[in-house]
Amino acid sequence: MGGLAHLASPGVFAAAFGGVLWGTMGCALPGISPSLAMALLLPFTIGMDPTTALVLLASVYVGAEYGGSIPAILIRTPGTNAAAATVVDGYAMARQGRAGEALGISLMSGFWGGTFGLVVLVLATESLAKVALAFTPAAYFSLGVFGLSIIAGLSGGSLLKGSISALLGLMLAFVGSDPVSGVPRFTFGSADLLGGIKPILIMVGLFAVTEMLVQITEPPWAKADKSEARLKLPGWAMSKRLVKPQAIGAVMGTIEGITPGGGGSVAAFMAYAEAKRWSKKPEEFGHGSPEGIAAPECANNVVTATALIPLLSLGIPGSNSAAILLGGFLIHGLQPGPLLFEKAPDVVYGLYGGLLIANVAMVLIGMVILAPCIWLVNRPKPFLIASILALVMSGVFAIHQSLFEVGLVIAVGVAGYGMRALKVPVLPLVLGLVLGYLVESNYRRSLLISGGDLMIFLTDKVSLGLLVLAVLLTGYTLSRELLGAKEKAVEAD
Amino acid sequence: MMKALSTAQRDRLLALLAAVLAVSYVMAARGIEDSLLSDEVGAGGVPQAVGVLMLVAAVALFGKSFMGLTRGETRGEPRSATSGATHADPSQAAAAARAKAPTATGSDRRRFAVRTAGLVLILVGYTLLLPLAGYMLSISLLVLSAGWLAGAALRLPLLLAAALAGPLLWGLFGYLLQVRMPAGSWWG
Repeated sequence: MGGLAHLASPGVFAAAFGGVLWGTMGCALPGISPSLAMALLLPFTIGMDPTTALVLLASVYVGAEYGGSIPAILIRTPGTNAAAATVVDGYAMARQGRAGEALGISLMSGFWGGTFGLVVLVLATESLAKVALAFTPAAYFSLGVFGLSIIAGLSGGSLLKGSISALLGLMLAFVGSDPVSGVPRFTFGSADLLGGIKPILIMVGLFAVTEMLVQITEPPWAKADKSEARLKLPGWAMSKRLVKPQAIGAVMGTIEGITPGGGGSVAAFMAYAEAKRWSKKPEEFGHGSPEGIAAPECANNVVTATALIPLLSLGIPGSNSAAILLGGFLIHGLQPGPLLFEKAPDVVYGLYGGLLIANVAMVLIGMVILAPCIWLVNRPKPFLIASILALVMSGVFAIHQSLFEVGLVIAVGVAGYGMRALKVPVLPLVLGLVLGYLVESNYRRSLLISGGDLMIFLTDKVSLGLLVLAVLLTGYTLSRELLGAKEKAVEAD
Repeated sequence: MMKALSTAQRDRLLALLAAVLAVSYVMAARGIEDSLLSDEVGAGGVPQAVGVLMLVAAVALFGKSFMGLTRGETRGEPRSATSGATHADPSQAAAAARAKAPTATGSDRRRFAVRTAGLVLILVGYTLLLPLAGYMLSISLLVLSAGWLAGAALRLPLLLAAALAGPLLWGLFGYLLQVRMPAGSWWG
């Protein structure tokens, strides 16, 4: 009831709307991460009352996770890491003149995801926090392996090429300081590489720069007509079709949200792969499937709420964005953890109420800003290519004011062009890059704990369960691919 | 003369590149020196394993390309080497337009390659110019040159877009987002 009381507070109301607007606009710019958008506002929260300040920061997170999907769909550039899985089908739909429909699906899936996540947060924080506590390093390693087991589903029909791509992603993830000893690896003496390669740089290069290098040789895009250039929310029939992928996204978002380090990007990829597996029309995935947008968008918006579970109940920030939110708590003299619910229940329930407003605000703001966004991408292609490149180059430089990173993004863009020419799928690379640190660091920590005994991965119950799931998933996908290859061969004969 | 590669040739090229990368990576990983803080696996342990797996995948792909297992993919080559996007609903205008696009000839491919290389040069030029000429001028020149290369005429609309891009983006990043963009060493 305390949370509901905050719905009537003008300060919380304004913070929720302002935060969502800031997050959506900020993360619609490639290179501006949710944590950066939140960090920019952090100093301004010092003079605010704790509830308003925390609602503002959490609302930026909500808006940011949604905002990242706008450039992903319109210009094939994920605004955030978590929007990378949305690129594939979102951009394909946009190229078919269905940008308005794709953005409508993304918006409503984000809303349902955010709302579901909030319900989980309110009802299950206490019990799910116990699950998070059960995650040992061995379980985290197995969680990473489980994540990598979906590579086959992202490989576009060639498991070998998908594996090469994922291994390349893992190789890139190992660049920088060793997670255990701090020894520099594959840095070639460059101080710029000591901190590792940020996934967003690889994604912007692979998706945005590569796409522009391809588009510069392509004929002009077919212009969307007026009706196509309007936001189109899913109708009854489409909503019914999206229930299953959204439910899959909700489950993945909950699992990944409550496990610190999982995060929205892993949830989005897992949801995409599972939605494809369970879809009645899996062949549409990769070519403009509405389900391919609904599942990852629902998943990464569920995470905006469920990622708060380990933060609020245990004081563990599971992501950069959660760490900024933790900073917001600390600035106001509040220590997240089990005692928070006893010491400052009004702040916690106020945050819940604020998140509810933020989800509604996301829909309203989304409906207003999407139409101009669609109009913008209907401008003549040469102007659009030039503008996208200007925005991407500026956004990349803005991350760390590093020319090295600008050069890296261009190099990755050229490499991505080569990958396209060789028909190598890029999504497994992104997955490998995102999961590389999680897998390696927890593998080695586990062996340190067990004194080098590999049985630790089988004796830990959570780890064993995840490994069994990974084996089952890989076996199922491999058998389907082999059957499909046999059918192809028979057809060719 | 530029010639489009077949699926098998593409796979062999990919396998070769992956194998070279794998061997170089394993060698670099073996050269990583461990500190006293290191564990049993060592800083180079997991990277070496990943490099070996990459080599195995490369060899498997190479073998597969000779066994004719990719024959189903060879039909229906796209019009250019990189235009791999296909669409599920061919009734859509944009998809239909792409599907009807003629097959690229050798001279087309040469022209495409020159344009792509030109855009890479523009981006590299922007990166080199940024610390010298500053953000506002560099980004305006990037918009002007990329827009022209993409097909816009060097007339008022493009010149106006380039002239406005610098101040607009400077305002967005420099003032709204409080990011310090380079002023340029040429201007002191």
